[in-house]
Amino acid sequence: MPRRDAPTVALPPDPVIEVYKKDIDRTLLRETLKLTPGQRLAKLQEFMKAVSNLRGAARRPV
Amino acid sequence: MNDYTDFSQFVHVLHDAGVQFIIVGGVAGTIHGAARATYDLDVVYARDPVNLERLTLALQPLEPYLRGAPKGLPFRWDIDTLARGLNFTLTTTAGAIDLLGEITGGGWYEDLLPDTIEVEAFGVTCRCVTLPKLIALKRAAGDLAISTRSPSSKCSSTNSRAGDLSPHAPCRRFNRVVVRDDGAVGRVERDHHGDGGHLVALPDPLRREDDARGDCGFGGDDRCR
Repeated sequence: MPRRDAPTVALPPDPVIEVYKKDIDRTLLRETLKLTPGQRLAKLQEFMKAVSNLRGAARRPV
Repeated sequence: MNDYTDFSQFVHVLHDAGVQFIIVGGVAGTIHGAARATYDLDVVYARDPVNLERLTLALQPLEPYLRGAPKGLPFRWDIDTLARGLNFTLTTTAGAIDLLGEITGGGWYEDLLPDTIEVEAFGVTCRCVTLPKLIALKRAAGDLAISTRSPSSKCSSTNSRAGDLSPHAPCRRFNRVVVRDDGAVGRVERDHHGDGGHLVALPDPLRREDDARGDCGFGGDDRCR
């Protein structure tokens, strides 16, 4: 399957983004950016399923 | 009904029905690389009659209903409802979806179209808003605050400190980062007394020499510089 990746984006320096940047774990972003957009969505979907399962677990008595 | 939103099902349903739509919001952020969760799919849809009909038929099997509304309301998912309304926040058997006829900062489908890219998602090709436009939309929605206000303006009449916010400012958006007319960057903090807020100055981040550049830090491309 051909890789359909998002194009390279050049953003001008932005003070708001720079302030937010220091509070963001950019290692996670770098790992995510290694994936294709489709793989990122699949990962999000899996994450949402996992969250749903965890919610169910919290409601179940031990 | 899923406890979570099935993004794959939504994308396939809309794509297979030939609906003209643009992915925006958190899922668009994920497509661009953001490492954060989102609980619904936000799409901007074209408002022409053909697309309204396609969208109605596509979602019909998913039993759309107004999200957060009490059960039993006489809500009918048909083309008349879609034509009379504009933006819908819906719950369905596939999860939550927001249908936006118009989006703040982006306008209508046709307005947004030049600021989109084609991406392959769940095996089909669909349109997604570009990263710069996504940031602009987030700004317009107030999710990424930026303001233009005079340095001497205030948030409340009882607060007279220099650097306070204007009466028109989003004072209750505490902890947001804002930029004033004079270029000063600060974070909105709640006053100890009352509902007002004030701006706590932050060092100019663009002047930091030790900050390793490499990505934009907002779910963006690693090559942002």
